[in-house]
Amino acid sequence: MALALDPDEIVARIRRDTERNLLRVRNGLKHVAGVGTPELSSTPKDTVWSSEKVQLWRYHNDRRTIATPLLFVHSLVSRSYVFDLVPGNSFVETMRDRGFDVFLVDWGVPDELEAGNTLETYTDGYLPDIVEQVVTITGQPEVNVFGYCFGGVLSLLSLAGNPTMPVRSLAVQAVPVDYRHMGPMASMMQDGRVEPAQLIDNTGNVPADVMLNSFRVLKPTGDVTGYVNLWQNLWNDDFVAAHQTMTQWSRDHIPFPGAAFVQTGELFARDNVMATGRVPLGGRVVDLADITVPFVNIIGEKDHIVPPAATAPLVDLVGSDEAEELRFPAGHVGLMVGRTAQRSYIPQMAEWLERHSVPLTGGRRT
Amino acid sequence: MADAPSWRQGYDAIEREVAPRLESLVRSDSFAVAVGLVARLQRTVEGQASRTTRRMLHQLNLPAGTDVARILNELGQLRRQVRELRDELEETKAALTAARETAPAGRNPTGRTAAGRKRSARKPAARKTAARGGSDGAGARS
Repeated sequence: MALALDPDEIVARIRRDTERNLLRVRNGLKHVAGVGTPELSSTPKDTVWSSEKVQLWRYHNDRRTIATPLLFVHSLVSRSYVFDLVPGNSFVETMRDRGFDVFLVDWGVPDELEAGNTLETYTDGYLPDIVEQVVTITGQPEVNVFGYCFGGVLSLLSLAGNPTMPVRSLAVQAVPVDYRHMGPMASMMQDGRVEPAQLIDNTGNVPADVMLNSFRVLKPTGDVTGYVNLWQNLWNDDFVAAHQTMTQWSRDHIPFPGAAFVQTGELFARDNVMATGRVPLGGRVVDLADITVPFVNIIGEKDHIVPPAATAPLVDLVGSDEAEELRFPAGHVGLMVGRTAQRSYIPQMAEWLERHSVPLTGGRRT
Repeated sequence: MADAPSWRQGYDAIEREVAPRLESLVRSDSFAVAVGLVARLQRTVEGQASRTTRRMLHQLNLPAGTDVARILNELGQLRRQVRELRDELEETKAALTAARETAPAGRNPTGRTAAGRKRSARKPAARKTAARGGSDGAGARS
């Protein structure tokens, strides 16, 4: 194969490669030293309610156009700042700028005190209290709830078990329902090779590194590929900043409260009861069919943590007349983080929520 | 990716070969057995180490980490019971208030004295204070 060698092009390429290598050295040193990490979770907010380690945050918004408050419910396994990563790449910021009154539940970092927290502690204790607080604070009769990952499980069970909660609509994203598709850790519990209680340490919780490793095995080459991507793009400041942010979040797991984990392992992973829609909880059977508010299940088609097959049954399990799916060609986090999410996915989620909200009239600001 | 440098194309080719094998490995029975064994072994070793150090500390009349963890677990349990009691109290109070509102005028369905009703009415404020005071500032990331 003959190659046309244009001297100008060769010089330009050498110059570009030299510049990039210099930038690689600079960014590499910054990365190793941990310098220049973007400030996370910087959207202004107030803590409007707290109980033990649980906090309810309300984001400042003086350009509110939607009356119905929007409550984000995060998972129990990771940090809530994924909702508010950095300016320009923040789900919270985008929803705030679209006129929503945004609240976020942060569960805090569990220690020995939370080891005995069961699923009911969250679904029948904290969440109904939090929704009540949002109603009291805003003066609005109803709240839109948006649950992410295990936060979606908690939101579903809370609303199904307490159907009188003042919830106007429910959106859930990347929610595990059918645990047969949930990867090796769930399979090991289904087969009885690993008992959930075996993973609990002497604080009474499942350590953060066990949670992290259970996600790592889902994509064994993921870490190496991440570093290869970083090396290839190390000259690119934006890429490095985004990589630092996402790497930090994806490794920043927190312990899982032991009692809730045992229930999750036994009820969901081993007995797969979420897939039946009927979950024994708090001395009664919580039936997802008791959810009758407008409902949307947001699915990432490339999600390797909660694959589409693991979450797709949900839309048929709830009792809502208006139950729909939004599917995006994204991964577990890519549904709400990154340029494509900002440009395409989040606007569609926002439109759904706007359709199920009451607009603010008369300029009343709470 | 046509623009990818040759080393990257090489990595991608290797990754395409290796990734599915690793993924099937972690889904295999042998991997599950290995994880189960490692978990059991780790638990046994940690349990043994914990028992040994606890015995030593107890001989010096000092509390061990497991003692502290146990006390904190019990404290957590106590906190949950208090929360449940508080919720029950609130439900009872709401039911009483509703009954009082629906009862005919001049009749007191609760059988309580006026002073009792006053005490009951002050409850929510106390609860709000307790809820705020209960915060431990765990939101350091905010």
